[in-house]
Formats: sequence, structure tokens, C-alpha cells
Amino acid sequence: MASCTSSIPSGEREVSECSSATGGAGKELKVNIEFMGGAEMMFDNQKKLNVTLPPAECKWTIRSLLAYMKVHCAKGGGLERFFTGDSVTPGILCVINDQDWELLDTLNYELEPNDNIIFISTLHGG
Amino acid sequence: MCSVSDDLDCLSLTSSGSGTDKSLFHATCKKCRSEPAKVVVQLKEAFCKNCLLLYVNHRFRACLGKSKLIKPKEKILVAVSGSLASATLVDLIHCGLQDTTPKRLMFSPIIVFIDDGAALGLSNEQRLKIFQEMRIMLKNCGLSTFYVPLESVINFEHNDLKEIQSETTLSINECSVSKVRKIFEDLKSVTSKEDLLIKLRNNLLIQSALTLNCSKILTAETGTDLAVKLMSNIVIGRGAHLPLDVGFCDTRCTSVLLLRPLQDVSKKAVAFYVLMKGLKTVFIPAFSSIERKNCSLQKLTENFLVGLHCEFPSTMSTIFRTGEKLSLNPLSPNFGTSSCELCQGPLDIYATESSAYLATQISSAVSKYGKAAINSDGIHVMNHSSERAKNRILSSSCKNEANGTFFNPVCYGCQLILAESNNQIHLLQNSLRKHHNQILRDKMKEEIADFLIE
Repeated sequence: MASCTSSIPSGEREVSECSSATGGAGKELKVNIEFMGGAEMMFDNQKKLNVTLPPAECKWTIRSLLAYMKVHCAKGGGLERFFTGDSVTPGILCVINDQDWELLDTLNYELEPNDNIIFISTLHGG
Repeated sequence: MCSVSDDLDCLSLTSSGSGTDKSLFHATCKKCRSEPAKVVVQLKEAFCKNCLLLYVNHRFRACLGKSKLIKPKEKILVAVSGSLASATLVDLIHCGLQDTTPKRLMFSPIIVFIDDGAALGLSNEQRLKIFQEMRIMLKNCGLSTFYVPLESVINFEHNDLKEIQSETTLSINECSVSKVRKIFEDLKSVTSKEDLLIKLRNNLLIQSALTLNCSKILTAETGTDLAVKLMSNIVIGRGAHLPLDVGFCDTRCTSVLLLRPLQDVSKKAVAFYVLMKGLKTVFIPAFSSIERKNCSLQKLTENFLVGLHCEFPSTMSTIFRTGEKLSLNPLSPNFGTSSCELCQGPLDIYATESSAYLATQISSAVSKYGKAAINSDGIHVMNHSSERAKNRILSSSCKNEANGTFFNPVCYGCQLILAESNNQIHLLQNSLRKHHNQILRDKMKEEIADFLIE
């Protein structure tokens, strides 16, 4: 739990730096997030999330999306079940537009508007 | 025809650090070489949608076909939990039974869903929600589907098995539910809770199979699950039963075999199968879902192995392929003739001298009684090879003796569960003994079959 709480501020900083650099320029980015296999537990049992990301100068990537989700979407305890470092916990698959993220540069994938991102937990008990 | 060694061909011991391999970006399918790849199933092997579906189907069919255990028109029980893997198994069987399928599956499957909400401490509303989601999930498969609550294990009767589609509400036997809840609350560690749940679920599956006249049970354990189970079973003291617990065929009960046809498929492949086919799944929380991250030995092992697998993508297949080569030697002096009353596995407690089991026994006796233990009955008796003397030690190691109720000899792994329970586990005793005796009778029947006059 300790590692989890200490990593939240760093995530916040990353997001705020990113958005403050632009000073409001750029466009908002809408993405659809879905959870399967128990990953939804960490997100208030919501299977689908429509997230509008604030404008940012540097392009939104999966890495910065995860940092954003950690601060804004995750609810309740057990964050360390989903997030590990700046990525997801091993055993949680990330699927971007029906394609394995390993084919798309994983964390460095640059988000496009209306991307569908699915997180599937293959771990026992979510 | 079908090789299962492809996983090992790419055995690399260098860290790949998943995702850093740029050669896979925007790759085409390794198999058909025309479609864009959608998923990396094995190291550097990227498949498109159709090839992945074919791959999973092929692995499943090859595994069943190779075993030659299933005969045409045989009634087979399919255990379903709502997970990604069980949704895949149901879909594979459903598609395999269609008339248009070449080499159609010839057996007749019956689906059974075990509702373990009572053990997990779920409320009646939560259980009803899960039940209804399961109904929807299994509605379209067109197979006969049964539902049995875990609390039936207390006193299993034939009418505990209910057609899931004809039931609209749950009929919950509050008395049994509170008993099951007590049994699980009584166990101190999540490790034992998870272990006991698996054993009870297996018992109930075998009882359901016997009731429905099925001679085989199919479970949806994937290769990843089995690799994790292999390591965690060693950790929790079930190493002696590994070939039964992680092999393709579990022969604990001679009249009902438990088969694992998804053993050659990884969890990732199964997840993408579900995603690409748009199958419905039902998420049922486990004991570990509400606890902290590494709350049980099983969960810790899983997290460790999955983490390692990310760095070294051959981890799971290497473990699994190694485990596959293990076999049980029934003639070994370490196994007695009888089986454990709780898990039905062969008893691993008739240890030869200077074995690890004897060492733990001596160590626990010494830490309990001090120096006196060395010359006391305990150690003395243990050195005798007579079965009765050993049973005495065992029964004294079961706390339930104080209550006048103790299990017949149980295996080492189950002893650890019993040692954690205060008294509540004796609630299970009658039903398990009944079940145990039935299995023993079946075994005996088989042994003397040649001498019987029809």
C-alpha cells in the first residue's frame, strides 16, 4: 500500500505538468475504457468508462492515461492490484482497438480520439 | 500431427521486457501471412483474429483427441465458473457440436455451475445477481445446464442439482449456508480457505457427475492456471499429488475422471478468444479479491510467476512442461493403500525413514513437548511401520479429536487445513465420509470386477 500512495503524487505531477505546459491549447481527447475479468473492481464496479482527457501539449499516451486514471478514476482500495509503477500489474492485459498493446509499443502508444481501450485481468479473483 | 512443444522452441532465457520488441509493431499474422496481427500469443508469434480462434480450437481438440479418453455418446460434465476460460470452453464445445463442424464432437455435455457464494460470504442479493448473469451467459449455448450451490456439500441430495433455465429465483438453505460460512470463517489464513474451497468444489463436481451419470468432468483450467497451481501446490504441501492436480487427467475417483482440455492454451489466448468472439463472462470475486495483494500463498505465487513471465516469456510453459512429466508411483512405499478423506488423493503420510514428512513431524513434536518428545510415544510409534500406529499419531494431530470427532487419516496438505480450523470443519465430516466411502466402494468394485458373476 505504501508504494501505491507514494506513487500517486508523481502521477499527478506528470499529468499536471503535461497540461499546464499547453496553457489550455490543444483539444480535449475522448477515449472509451472498458474493464473485464474483475479489473472493474478497482473502478467502482463500472464496466465502462468514458474519459475526457484535458488538453495537453505532449500527446496522451497509455502511460499518461494510466497516471490520469490512477488519480481521477480509481476508487476504493486495492489500487496496487491494478497499477504497478507507471504501468499495469503483470497479468492485466491491455487491448487497444481490439489489438494487443504489445503490437502497439505498449505504454508509449499515442492515443487517438475515440480509441477503445480494454483492460482484462487474467489474475485469479481479478 | 499436433506438437505441443512449439512453446519451448522459443525458450529464451534473456529478458525480453515485454513490449520493447519493435519487430512486432504492425506485424502481419505469422500463420496466414496476410491479415494484420492482432495478438501476440507466444514469444514473437503474432496472430490475426481468425488464426487465433483456430489456434485455440486446435489446441483444445488436439488435447482431447490425443488422450483418446472420450467415447462417442458419452455423457460429460462441464464445470463452469463464469470466468474467461470457462466461457471459452463452453463456446468451443458449443461450436464443436454443430452439425456443420468437420469432425464434430460426439459426446453429450452437461454444464454444471457451482455457486460458491456461501463460502465467499456473499449476500443473497449478490448471489442472485451472479445467478442471473450466469443464466444469461449460458442461455445461448443450448446445452442442458445445472446449478448447484456449494452449501450442498454439507448434505448432498440429488434434487440439489437444479436446471438453471427453469429456475428464476434461488432457493437458499440458510442452515447449510451458515454452516459453510462458519467453516470458512473458522480458518485463519486465506491460503487454507482457497485450498479448502477447491477441494470442496471438486467433491461436489464428482458428486454431481455421479448423480447425472457422467463419467468424465471437463474443467477450464488453462496452462497458465496449471503452472501457477503446480508451484503453489508445492508451497502449500501438496507436492505428492501434483500429477493429479495439474496433469491432464485426475484419476482420484476411478468412476469419474477429471480432464483439463485447455491445458495447452495460455490465459492470454483465452482472454482474446473471449474478446474476439464477444462472449459473455461473469466475474465472481475470490477470497483474494477483497484482501490485500499478497494475502495467500497461492496469490503470492501467482503474482510472482506472472511478473516473472513478463520478463521471461517462457516461464509458464517451462514450468508447465516440467510438471507434465511428473507421474505418481502407486507402488511407492510413501503411499498407503487408503486415500485422504478430504481430497481423495492417495495418502502421502506413510513416510519412509529420514523423509521430509517425518522431519516435520519430529520438529512439531519437539516444539510442542520439548525434549520429552524424543522418547515419548510420538516418535517411538512413528518409527514403527504399522499403519494403525501411524493413524494414532495422525488423529492426535487433528485438533478435532478433543470433540470426539476426527477425520480418518488425511494427507499432509489437508492436515494443514485441519490444523487451522478450530472445530467447525467437523460439520463436513459426515458428508465427506459418505462421499469417501462411495469412492472406495467404486474402487473396490473395479478391482474385483473380473471375479464378479454378472
